[in-house]
Amino acid sequence: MTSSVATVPTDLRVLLTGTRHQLGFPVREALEGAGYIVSATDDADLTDPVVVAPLVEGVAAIVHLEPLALVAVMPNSGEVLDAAARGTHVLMKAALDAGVPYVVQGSTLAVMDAYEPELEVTEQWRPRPRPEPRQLAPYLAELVGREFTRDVALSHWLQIVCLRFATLDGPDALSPADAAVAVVKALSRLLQSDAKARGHRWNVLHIDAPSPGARYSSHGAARAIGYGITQDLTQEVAQ
Amino acid sequence: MYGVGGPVGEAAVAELERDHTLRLADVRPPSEPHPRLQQGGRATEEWPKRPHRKEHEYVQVDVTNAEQVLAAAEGMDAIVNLSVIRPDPVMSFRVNMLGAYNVMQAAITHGVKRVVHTGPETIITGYWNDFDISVEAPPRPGIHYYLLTKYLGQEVVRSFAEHHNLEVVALYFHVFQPSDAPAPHRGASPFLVSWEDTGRAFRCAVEAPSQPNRYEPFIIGGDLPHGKFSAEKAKRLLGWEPQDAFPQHWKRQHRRPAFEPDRSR
Repeated sequence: MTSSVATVPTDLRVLLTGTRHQLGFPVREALEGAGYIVSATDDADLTDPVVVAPLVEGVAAIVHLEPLALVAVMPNSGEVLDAAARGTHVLMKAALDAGVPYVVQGSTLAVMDAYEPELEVTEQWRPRPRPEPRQLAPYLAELVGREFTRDVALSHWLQIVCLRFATLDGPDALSPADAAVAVVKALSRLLQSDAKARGHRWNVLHIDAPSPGARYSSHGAARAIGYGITQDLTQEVAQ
Repeated sequence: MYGVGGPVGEAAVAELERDHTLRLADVRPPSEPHPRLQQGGRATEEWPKRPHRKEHEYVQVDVTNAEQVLAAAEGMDAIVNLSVIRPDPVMSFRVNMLGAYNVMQAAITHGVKRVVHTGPETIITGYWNDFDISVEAPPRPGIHYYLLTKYLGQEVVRSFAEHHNLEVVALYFHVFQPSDAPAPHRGASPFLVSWEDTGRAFRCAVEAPSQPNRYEPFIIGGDLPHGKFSAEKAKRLLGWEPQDAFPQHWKRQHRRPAFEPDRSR
C-alpha cells in the first residue's frame, strides 16, 4: 500500500455495515472517537441494490463487516454464502457507481487455521478455508471485493484493505478494542493515500492480538498501518 | 448429472450413456426444450448429437435447493455438475456458487468419491496479451456475474476437495462447435473444442484414475495452433486426446484484396 502524506479532513461520513457483529459497537465507537460521522446498517438487506444505493451516497469510505455479521446471525447453511458474496458484490458495485473509493473489509483469520499451528503464516500464504459457511462466507466475500480492485474491464477501481481478524474468543484472543483500532488505522491510511497512486489496490492484513503469544503475526499490519506499534488513535485524523 | 439440460450436458450424456447408467437432473423437464433450441435454425444445427441415445432416469432438481440436490445424489458413484446461470445478478450467485456448495455437500453426505465440476475459463480476459497460459494461471474473473460466480463456485468446490476424502476433476471450457463447423464463431477465441471432444473429456473425467491432487483443474480445448492455451495436462492426467483441431478455421481460404493505402490524406 503506497501512501503520500496528506491531511485527512474531519467530519467524513463512513458507512459501517454489519453492526450486529461483536465488533460492530467497538468499531463504531472507535470511528466516532476518531472524528468520523458513522452511518451504520444493522439488518439492511445488502443483497438489494435499491436498499444499498442510498446507503453509499455521500460517504467517504465504507467499513464492511457484514459477512462476519451474517456468519454470526444466520443459520449455518449455504444461504450464508449467497448473502455474504452477493451482498458484497451489490455493495461494492454501488460504491463504485457512487464514486466511493475506499473500503475496509472485515474477514477472518480462521481461513488460515488449516495450517499447522507452529508455522509462521502470513498474508503471503494461500487461504485454506474449510467448507463451512463460517469460513467460506467471509472468504468468498474477499474474492468478490478483490475483483473490484483489479478488473481490467473497469474504468476505475476500489481501494480495499481487507483485515482478517483472529478469533475474538478464548484466552489469547484478539480484543474487540484492538480490532477496532486496526479498522480505524486502516481507514486512516486509505484516506491519506492518493486514489490514483501506484501499487496494489487490494491489500490483506492479518490482525491478531498485539502480544507475543498470538498465533498469527501482525507484522504486516504494523508496517502498513501502524497496528500494534501504537494503539493511540488521537493522531489518526489530522486536525 | 446436474444441469444436463444445456448443450454441454447433451455432449456429456452423448458420451457417458454408451457405458454408464445415468441419473439426469435439471430444473427444466426433458419435455421442455432448451430456449436456444426453441429458436431453431443454426442453434439446432450446431446442437450436440447423441447417436447412441438411450432413456435415463430423470429427476427435476433445482440446485439451489439443498434437499433436492441431496436426494438426487443418493446411490451414485460419481457426480457431474453442469449447472450454470449466466449474467443474472441474483441467480448467478445462487446457481453457480450456492449450487456448487449444495452439490458438494451431497457428495460428502453420500460418500461419492469423484465429482466432475465444470465452468468457463477465467483466464482469458485477464491474460489477453499472454501466451502459453496453463490452467494453473490464477483466475481473473473480474466482476462480471457469470465468470465471478463460477469462480466462487470453483473455490467452494476446491475447499471441499481439500478438506474431505473425495476428488474433484474440474473441466474448464470456453467455446464449443461441431467438429465439422466450416468457420469459427465470430469472436471465437483460441480456446475452442468440438462437442465430440467435449463428451470424451467427460468420459475421461469420470473414469480417470486417482489424480495427484484432490482438486485438479483442466483446460479442455482442442490442439489449436495459436500457442495460447494448452490441454497438455488433460492429456497427461486424464488420458484425453482431442481429435478435432478445426484446420478449416485457420487456413487462408481466399485471397485477400490488395491493401490500398489512403493517399488522399
